[in-house]
Parts: sequence; structure tokens; C-alpha cells
Amino acid sequence: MKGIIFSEFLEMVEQQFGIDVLDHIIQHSDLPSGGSYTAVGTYHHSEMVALVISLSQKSGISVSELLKTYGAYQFKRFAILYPTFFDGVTSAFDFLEGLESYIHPEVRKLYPDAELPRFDTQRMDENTLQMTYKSERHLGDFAEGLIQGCLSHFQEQATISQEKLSADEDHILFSIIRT
Amino acid sequence: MEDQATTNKLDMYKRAYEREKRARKEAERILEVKSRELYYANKRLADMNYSLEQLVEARTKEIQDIAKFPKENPHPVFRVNDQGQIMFANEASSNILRYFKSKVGDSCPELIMTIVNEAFEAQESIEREVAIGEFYFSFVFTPIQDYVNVYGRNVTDKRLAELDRETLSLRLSTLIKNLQSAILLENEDREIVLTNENFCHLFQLPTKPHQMVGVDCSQSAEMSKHLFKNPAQFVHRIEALLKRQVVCSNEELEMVDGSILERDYIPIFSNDQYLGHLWQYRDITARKNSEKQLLEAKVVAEESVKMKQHFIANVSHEIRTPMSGILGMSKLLEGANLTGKHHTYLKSIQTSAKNLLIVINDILDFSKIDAGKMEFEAVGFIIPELIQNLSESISYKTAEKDLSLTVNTDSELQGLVTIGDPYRLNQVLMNLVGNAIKFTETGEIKITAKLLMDMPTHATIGFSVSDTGIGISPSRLKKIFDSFNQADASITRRYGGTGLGLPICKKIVELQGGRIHVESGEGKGTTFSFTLSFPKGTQTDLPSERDAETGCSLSGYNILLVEDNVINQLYATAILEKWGTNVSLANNGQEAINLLNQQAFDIILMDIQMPIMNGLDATKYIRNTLKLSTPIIALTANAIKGEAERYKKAGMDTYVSKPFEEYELQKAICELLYIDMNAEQEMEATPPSSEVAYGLSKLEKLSDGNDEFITKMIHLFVTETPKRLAEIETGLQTNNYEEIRKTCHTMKPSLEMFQAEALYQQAKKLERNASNTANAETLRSQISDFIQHTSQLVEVLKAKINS
Repeated sequence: MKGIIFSEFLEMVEQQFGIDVLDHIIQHSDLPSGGSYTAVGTYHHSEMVALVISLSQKSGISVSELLKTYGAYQFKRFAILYPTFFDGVTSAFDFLEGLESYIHPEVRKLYPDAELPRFDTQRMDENTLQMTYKSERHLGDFAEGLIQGCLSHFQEQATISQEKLSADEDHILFSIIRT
Repeated sequence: MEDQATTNKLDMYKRAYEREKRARKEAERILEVKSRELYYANKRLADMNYSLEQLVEARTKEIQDIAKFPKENPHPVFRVNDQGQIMFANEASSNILRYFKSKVGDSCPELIMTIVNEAFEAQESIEREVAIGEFYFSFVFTPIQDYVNVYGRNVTDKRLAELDRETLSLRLSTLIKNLQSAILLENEDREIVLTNENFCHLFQLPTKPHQMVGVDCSQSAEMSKHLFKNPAQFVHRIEALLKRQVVCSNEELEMVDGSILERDYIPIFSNDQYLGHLWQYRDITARKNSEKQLLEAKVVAEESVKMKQHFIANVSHEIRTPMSGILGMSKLLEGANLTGKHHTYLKSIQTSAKNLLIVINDILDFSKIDAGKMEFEAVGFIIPELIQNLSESISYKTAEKDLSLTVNTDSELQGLVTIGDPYRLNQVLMNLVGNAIKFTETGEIKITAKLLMDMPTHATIGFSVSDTGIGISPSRLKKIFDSFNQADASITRRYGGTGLGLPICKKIVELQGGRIHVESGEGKGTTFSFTLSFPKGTQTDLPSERDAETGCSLSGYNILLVEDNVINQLYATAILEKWGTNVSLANNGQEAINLLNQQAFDIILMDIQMPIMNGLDATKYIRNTLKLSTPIIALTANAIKGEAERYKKAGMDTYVSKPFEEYELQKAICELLYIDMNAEQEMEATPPSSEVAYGLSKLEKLSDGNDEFITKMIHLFVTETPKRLAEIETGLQTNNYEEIRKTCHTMKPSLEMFQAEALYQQAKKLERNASNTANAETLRSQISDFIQHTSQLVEVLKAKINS
């Protein structure tokens, strides 16, 4: 998992929960990296799982909710860090539809070893977009947070519903309906 | 508590700091790794970029080259699309397009479009030859999708060569078809390539020539051998020729039917590669027969020429012997006491005999020329002297007819010694002058000699003899030099002659490399002129003075005359005794030898044909056995020149043809005894009394006994001579020696005519010395003497006519 996911997560924890919580969850998670992350590095995704679980225990907020929040936060950061991806893109659906065909290939150019989830989209009607998520990381909630972040970025309102297409949550169908 | 909290806080920040530091270090490490990767990636990229650029550049060039390919193609290349539009045309196509007044982008010319459409239909390449203007092109039309590529080649040269070959082939086959010979052309496998009608006919083949093409010939010799007289040889020879493969022409073959064939075998090679051979057969039966006839005719002709020559030699001998009798005897009769009438008869006999001799000599000359036996001497002589002598000897004839005779020779010729045959030149001039006199009644005869070309070693002289006579008509002029062709048959009757004179003159001139021609018109006189080239000589080439002038003294010499013919004996003896020699006579060679054993002689005159021992055998004996070097003169009636060689071989010194003139014999004897004579003459003192001696016999001879003529001549002499003497006198007073020289020269002929020997010699001496003023005193006294003596002669002659 790319270091930026970790560094941005820790940044968000520090902003939202304070440095004491951050210190706490690092101290209470068994992290081979020792909680020291750089955006350009690559770390095992189990460290993220450990950190989110620690934060959930400390804050009392569910892991699912934390991941959604973090997804929305992360999208905002992406928009700041990589503005070129947004050039000429005018709507959340357009952006999401271009994810697999445009953004992921660009990411792979920079990080050939990146393990990216797969998103397939289908426009059902003008305001409905169906999007499948496939990943061994089981981060469907983080993906929903990202979708939410995307909608917020384009200042659109939509309902997002999840439908698990497999038992272990590695294949999820998102239905995004603009309101 | 507060401290504890602070400590905890501090630890927490320390940990956060440691984490940040580690993250930074990790990031730095990753960055370094990434930078390195980036560096190498960049480097690889740059390398790849460079090699790509290279590759692109090479490929670009290649593409450009390829693009140029059709443009630079020396052969026309163009493209036509399915709309009939010319899409591309290279430089080499421009001529073709220009011919059709077309260019790229225009519609394709119809002539080509037709084939383009054909190619579209066929959907494969097709090749066509097209004539465009005066050129021929071979095009390949290759259809590709919706266009056709046309690749052309100018094949004009090839096509024209083909056309030429076709024409040539047609001509050759026409030639062969119409050839008189039988032709058979076989290839290297002995198959017939070509034959002709004549061949089928000759070998009795019942087919047409074109049906024979391709037929195997290996058995043909066997099949046709029965036509030949020697079949086995025919077959064998053909096999041998085929094996040797060497050209063999004009082989003769006899056929069973008696005809004769001529065969050529010609093997054909191209760059040493044997390609077959050609047989050629010609029927030469007719030619063979005529050759045989010609050969026979030639033998007959040659025999007849030989016989003719033999006959002439014999006849000349047979005629000359009695002629010399006639002349000799009549000469002796001159001395007898004859009446005037008899004297006239005698002169008539002599004239007739001489004329007959001239005729015989003409015929002899002519037959010599005919037989190619005319030979020429090469001795030194002076042309003006020759002409002067000639004019002197002929002057009595012109005088007789009251014609004036003029001699005009270039002064440059005076000292020029030419080498040639003076006797033949004299003969030609004599003949021409004789004709001139014969055909001229009034006016003048003119003899001229001009130096036409003076080269270092040679001189070309132009001679001419012109008259003011009756002339010759144009039609007769053409035939004037033809043998036996006188200007007119009536002329023969009126003027006589053999009609051989001019043809002989022409031959004599031409055999010496000269040219003769005649200009004449009826009533306008005639001019014969000829040119001769002579090598130049010097004074030493001239025969000694005495040769030209006769009159040496033979008095007291012992002469042996060997002669069987009594008349000839009488004639010769009479002459020899007249000269004051002692003559001993022998009737044949044997008698001569007997006499020679007893006595020494100064000179021997030897006849050739004699009984018991002939002249040649006798001479051989005298030279080889008696070992005597006494000069021997052959007296011969065999006038053919070739004989002289035989005489000389036998040991004789010279010969005189019978019948001879006195002077001829005298000349021959004097020549042989010359050295002694010369010495004697120097010592001889001339008695003054003989200075004015003269004689009229020569004049009588010339006039044939016409007394009136003689008187006329004397009268002329006595009136003219004092005038000449006066000129010499004046010359002496004014020291004009040239004048004296000229006058002496003019006087010589008349002095000779009157046989004034001493005065003649004096005049001659003066002529020679008058230019030499070194010894003026002697010269002056000589001139005075000459004037005095000549005046005396004039007085004597004056007295004679007055008496």
C-alpha cells in the first residue's frame, strides 16, 4: 500500500483527534514500520488495518465510519496534490468514469508496483452511476468515502448505496444516484 | 503529576519527531534510489533516443532514395489510375507524354489507356510493344488496386535491328534462291537449314527447297553418290571435309553424265563455336570446255607467233642477202664508166633498193614491237646535235621541193647530255620529217625540241615536227596511229609507204615512256609532237667525238674478210680497198683460221652463215684455241636484235647488219681501232693543198643524178658563203665570238654537203673553240685560215659552174 495513504491518514488523525490519539494508536498497534511513513514509500496494508482498528477502539467510532471519513478526506488531498487529473473534468460521474481508463494508468506510470483496486462503471441513466469495486484489501468503505469526497469536490449531492457481490466484501457494487 | 504529564508529552513529541525523522530518511533513501533509477532510465532513454534518431535518419534517407528510384529510372515509368488519369510520370516518360501532348494529371492517351484497361481486366501484368512516333517501346502494365504501373523500355534500336535483319534475311534468301550455284546450308547436327532450287535440281531431288529444311543429311552423300563418276571418292571426301572443318574451295567433281561441278565447303564458326557448314556446287562444264578450247587456241597462237618470228627472221635474211648484193653491186657500178642514161638507171635501182630496205626495216621493227622484242640502247647523246645532223642529212630533200627546213632547239639543251637511244629517236624524227616532206608541197617543215621539265636526274623533252602540208581530216586523224592504216588508201597509191611508220613511231615513243600526239586539219598542215624523259648524263657519257663523225683513216690496215657470198665479197672488198686497207679473203671459217695461223690481222670481218665452218664456231676457235684478241665484226643478215647477244657471247666485238652502208662499216671499224686512230690523227699533218678539197658525189647521190639540182646547190653555196664569211669577219673585228660560233655552226651542213672535209673540220673546231677566248691569238689565226680557205673553195666552185 502506497505511503501516501498512511501519511495522509496520520495527518488526518492528528488534525481530527489530536497528536495524543495519534501517538496512542501508533503505540498500540504492532507496526513493523514503527509508524514512520513517507508518501513515496510502500508499506504492508495490514499496518493500515491495525491503525484503523486502534483508532476505532480509542475513539469509539466504527471502523467503517472511520474509513468513509478517511476516504472523503483523502479525496480532498488528492484534489490538492494532483490538480492535473481534474483538468477539463466537470462532474463527479465523469471523474469516476475516467478512473480506470485515465487516473489509474497514470498512477501505474509513477508507481509500477502499486496495487490498485479495480473500478468498473456503468451509467444507468443521467443521474445514476453503477460502479463495481474489486480489491483484496476489502476497503469498500474507504472507496465509498472517496466517492463521497469526489461528489463533494464537484459540489454534487448523491446517495451512495453498497451491495456486496461476494461474501468477503472484495467485490462491491456501488450505486450512486444524484439527487 | 504535572511533571509526569510533561514528561509524557515530551516523550510523545520525541516519538513523533523520531517517526518524522525516520520517514524523512526513508523518503530520502527512496528518492536516492528513484533518482538513480531515473538517471539510468534517462540515460537509457537518451541512448535509445540517439539510436532511434540514427535509425530514423537512415530510414528517411532510404525512403527518399527509394522515392527517387522511379524518378531517376532511365526507362519510362508512369502510373495511370482507373479514372484514366496519369498520376505519376518520371523524367524518362516525358518524351512519350510530350508526343501525346500530355502531362501528369492529364488523361492517359487512348493508345496506352486501351492496354491499361486490358491490364485491369486481366488483373495481372501484361507486356506490349507500342510504336510511338518513330520509336518503339516495350511496356509492362502491372495493375495494383485502382491503378496500373507502366514500366517501359525504349526498344527502337533492337526493333530497327530486327527490321534490318528481316530485310537482310529476305534479301539473302532471295539471293540464295536466285544464285546460279547450288547451295546447301547445314547446321551442326547436319540438318538442312537452307537450300535452293538449283541444289534440288542438281542432285535430282523431287522436292521443293523449303520442304528440305530440317531434313537430316547424314545419309545424303550415300544417297547421291551414284551421280558421280567416282562415288566412293565422293563419299570419302565429304567425310574428310566434315572432319577437318577447314574451308575448301573450287574442288572439281566429274559427274556420270559428263558434266563437271565445282564445289566449295565452308564451315561456319562463331567465336570458335562450330555452327554448321555451307556446301556450294557450280556447274562449270561450259567454262571447262571453253577453257580447254582457249588453252588449245593459245598453244596454236603461240606456235603461230613463234613461226611468224622465225619466218620474219628468215625472210629478212633471205631478202637482205640479195639486197646487199644489189646495193653493193650498184655501188661498184658507180665507179664504172657509165653513160648519163645508165647512170640514171643505176640511181633508180639504188633508190628502189633503198626504199625496199626501208620497207623491210619497218616490217622488222613492227614485228619486233609485236613480239615485245624491241630493245633500247642507253648511251649519252646531245639532242640538238642529233637534230642538227638529222636536218643536214634530210636538207637535200627539202631543198628538192623548195621547202624551208627550220630547226628550233632550246638553248638549254645545247649542253645537256641525255642518256637514251639516239638511233630510235632519230628513227622517229626521221619518219615524222619524212612524212612531213612527203605531204607538203609548199611552205616549211619545222623541227623543234623544248626542255619541258628539268629535274636533277631527268629531263623531259618535247619534240615536234610540223609542216604546212595537206593536213589530215578529223576522221582519219583518229586512226593515224593504227597499224597498216594510212590516212587514205589513195594516199598509199600516191605517196607510197607501208603504213607502219607512225604505228612504229608511236610504239617507240610509248615503250620509252613517252606520249605522241598529232594536231592537224585538212589544208592546215600537221604537227606531230611527242615527249620523252631521259636520264641526265655528263660529258663522259658521250661516245668519243670520232663516233659521231666518220672519216677516220684506215689506210694501211690489214683486214681479213670472211665471207662465202661472192657478191658480198666483191662489195666489201671494193669498199675496204677504197679506204686503202689490205684485204685478205677467206671463204669460210676454216679458211680464216688457216690464214690467221700464217698472218696477223688488225681486224676480222666475219659472216655468220657459211659452209664448212660458220662465223660463230670460227670466232670461238679464234678466241679459245688461237687465243687471238683481234677485233671481230660480225656481218649478219639476221637483223633481229637478240642475235647480237649470241655473237658477243661467241667472242665477237660488234656487228653490222647487211646490207650495210659504207659509213656503218667504217664506224664499226673505227670504233674498234679508235685509240690508235686518235693518236695517229694528232700527228697527221694536213697538207695545205687538201684544204680546199671537195667532192660532189654526196650531192649527186642526194640528187639522184639530177645535174640541174647540183648546179642549183653550187650556185646557192657560192652566193651564200661569202655573206657568212663576211659575218665571221665582222665578228672577228668586234670580238663577237658568239656570232662566229653561230655562223660556223650554220656553215657546217653545206661544207659537209660539198664534202669539203678539211673545211668542215675547221668549222667544227671553230664552233667549239670560239667561246674559249683564252687563246685569242691562236683562234684569230685559225679564223683567218678558215676564211681564206673557204674563199678559195668558193672561187673553185664558181669556176666550175661557169665552165
